[in-house]
Amino acid sequence: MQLPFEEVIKVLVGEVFNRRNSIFVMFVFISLSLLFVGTVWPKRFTTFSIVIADTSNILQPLMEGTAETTRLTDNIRNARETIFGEKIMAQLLDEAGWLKANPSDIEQEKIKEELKKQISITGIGKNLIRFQYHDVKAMRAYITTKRMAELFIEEGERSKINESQAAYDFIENQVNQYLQKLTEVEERLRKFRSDNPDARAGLEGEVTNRINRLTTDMQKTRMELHETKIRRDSLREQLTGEASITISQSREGQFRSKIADLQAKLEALRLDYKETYPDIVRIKHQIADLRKTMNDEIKQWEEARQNTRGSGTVYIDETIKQSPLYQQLRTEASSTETRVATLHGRINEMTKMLEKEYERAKRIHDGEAALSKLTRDYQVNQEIYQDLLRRMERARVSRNLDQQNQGLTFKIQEPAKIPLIPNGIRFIHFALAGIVLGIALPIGLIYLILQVDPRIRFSQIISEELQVPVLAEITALSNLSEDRNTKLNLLILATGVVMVFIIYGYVGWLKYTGQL
Amino acid sequence: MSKIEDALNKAKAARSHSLVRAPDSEHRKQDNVKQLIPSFADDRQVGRQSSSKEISLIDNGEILESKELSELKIIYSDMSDNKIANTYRDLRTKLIQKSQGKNFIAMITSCVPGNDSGMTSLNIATAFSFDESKTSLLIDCNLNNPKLDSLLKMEADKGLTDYLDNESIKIETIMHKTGIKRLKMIPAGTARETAIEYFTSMRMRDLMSSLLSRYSDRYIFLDTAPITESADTKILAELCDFMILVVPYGTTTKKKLKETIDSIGSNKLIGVVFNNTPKLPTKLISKIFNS
Repeated sequence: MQLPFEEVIKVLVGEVFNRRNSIFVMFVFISLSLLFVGTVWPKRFTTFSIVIADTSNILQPLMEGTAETTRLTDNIRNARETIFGEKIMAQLLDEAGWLKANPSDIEQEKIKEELKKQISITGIGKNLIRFQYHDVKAMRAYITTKRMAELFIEEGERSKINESQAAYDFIENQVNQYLQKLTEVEERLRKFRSDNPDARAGLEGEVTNRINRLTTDMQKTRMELHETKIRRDSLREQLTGEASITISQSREGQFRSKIADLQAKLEALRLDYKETYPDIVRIKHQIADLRKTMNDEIKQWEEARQNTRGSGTVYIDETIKQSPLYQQLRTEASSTETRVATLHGRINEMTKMLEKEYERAKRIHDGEAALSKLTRDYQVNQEIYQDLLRRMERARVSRNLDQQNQGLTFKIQEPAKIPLIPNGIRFIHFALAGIVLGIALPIGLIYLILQVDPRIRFSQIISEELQVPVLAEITALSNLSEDRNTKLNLLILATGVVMVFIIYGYVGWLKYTGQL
Repeated sequence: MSKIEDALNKAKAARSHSLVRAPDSEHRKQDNVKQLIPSFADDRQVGRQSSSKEISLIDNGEILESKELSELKIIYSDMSDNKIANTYRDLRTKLIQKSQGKNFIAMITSCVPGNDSGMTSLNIATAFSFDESKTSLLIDCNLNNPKLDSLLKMEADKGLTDYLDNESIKIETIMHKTGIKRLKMIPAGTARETAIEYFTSMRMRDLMSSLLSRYSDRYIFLDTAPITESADTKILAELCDFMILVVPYGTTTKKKLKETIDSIGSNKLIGVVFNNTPKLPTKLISKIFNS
């Protein structure tokens, strides 16, 4: 059942009035205890420092692609880890004066944990880091925050230098390793080359050419041999009998032409001279001699021919043998024989050479595979080595950049300040909360009781839910003495409330003047 | 106090058709005068001059002053916080409407054990006595724990049980003056035995009917023990015309109240008086600091 709001308020006010004594007790208790808590509550001073991680310096565009500046990668986490590290925490503890009381190790650990809770490191925007710290003492808050930012920067720079140095060292080490490898490969290559003189780039082509040339030469030589053999045969034939006939026939022709010449001479002489002219007589004798010689020769040749036919051997006339043509033929034939022998010899030589070349080509093939492997190794190593060399140079520049505090730099953008006014929950908050809670809490409690307590407090429940008419709603009567008591009670309560306020004012004044 | 003043007062009393005890101070005199004015108004409205005349002849004994009434927490017609008095007046009107103008016997009982309805009964009866044409009779039937005499600061005297015990005692003997005009009271009495036997007796029935029928403008109220506490109350329910259940603020749950109402199981229950509701501080404070 939804009760009218007015009724609820009425009942609430009535209940509050009836229970004013307990409410008063609660009010006094709550307000005074909160006031007390407020006076003893530690002040909380907060100070902060902002560090700018400056990445956009003039060097970056200049060194783009050549040197790597340390990047602002997750600076916040980095900062947190740096600050919360054992080293800086110990330093902070010392510098902020925590160690003056000579705390034990366990206590120190506790203080560190506490510090870690009070420190907050947050990122603002892209490259600002905010270090914030709360403490009960303003000065300590200031020192801690200031040193925290400074130590972070120092540590950051140191680690940055270390990092680039480490990078440089690493690359240098790599360079050396590759240099060694390269030297090894070079040595192997050299050894291989000296072991395998054939193993030379382009040798294969050379060998192929040579083989080709040899083959061609050999073909040519063979051809020549063939030709020479034919010529030898023909010369041999010429030098046999049949040849001699031809030769003698040609001698008969010579005789006849000589005779004809002499006849012609004779005819010419007869025109002028008589038969008895001595020249004509001599020529006539000459012609007769020639005819006789010619006839003898024919006869002799005929005889010889018949004789050779009988014996089967080639008969060569001595005269023929004596003839320059024959002599020439013989010379030629013998030279042809020599040539044939020479050519045979050459072919054999060439075959041998070809075989050798083939063998060499095979060797070259094998060697080439090994060589190309070695060369490949060499090339790869050389490439890497060169790349590393370049990188090493870059790393050197990067390291130098960091060493000279260029590149990524941390600067204090906003230095820590000594906090003057404590923040967080302060005395005034406790005081106000004391008053407000002192009033609101008991009343709220009563409201809660009204909500929870099932006992009937509203006549509407009887009339509407139980359907029994409510004839009258009667407030309790009070008599004079009760009224007097109530009056006294109210006066006492009012005095009490005033007392509470006086205490508040007094404590507030003490707090304000700094006496508390 | 001079004789002349006495005479004047008597004359006033005669005009108002009421017997007023001789005031012994000027203050009291004025109180009485104030008290009389609404009575006149009531008379004109109701117009029962004849019965009022008769009633005015009744000996009311010593009349209690407003101050004393206030001390006894009994309502009076010119009280400063007249909201309560008006509430009782409204209740009276409602009851009269229920009975269609006839007089009746109303039983008043509380639904919470330990919480008795005495104060409420007393004030309801007082409210009836405001009307000069009516008289009211309050009977304390809470034999185990009679309260009414103490509420009225009266000496325990012969009452209901004595009458029921002893046939020689007459009704007049047990009807006591209360100090409130037109209100008489029968206390529980001095003899205490098992209550049921008293209430089931014929003498009790006779008493009730004779009380009711003797004066047509007499309204009878039985203050009984809480219904959950005593079996008497259910027996008495037989004898009465109405039953009024007193439900004190913030003491019983809806479930229990429903059980109680169901257990009464009688159509005589005409309603509930929700009492002891918390007083709003504004009125109370003004009352306290003005007094």
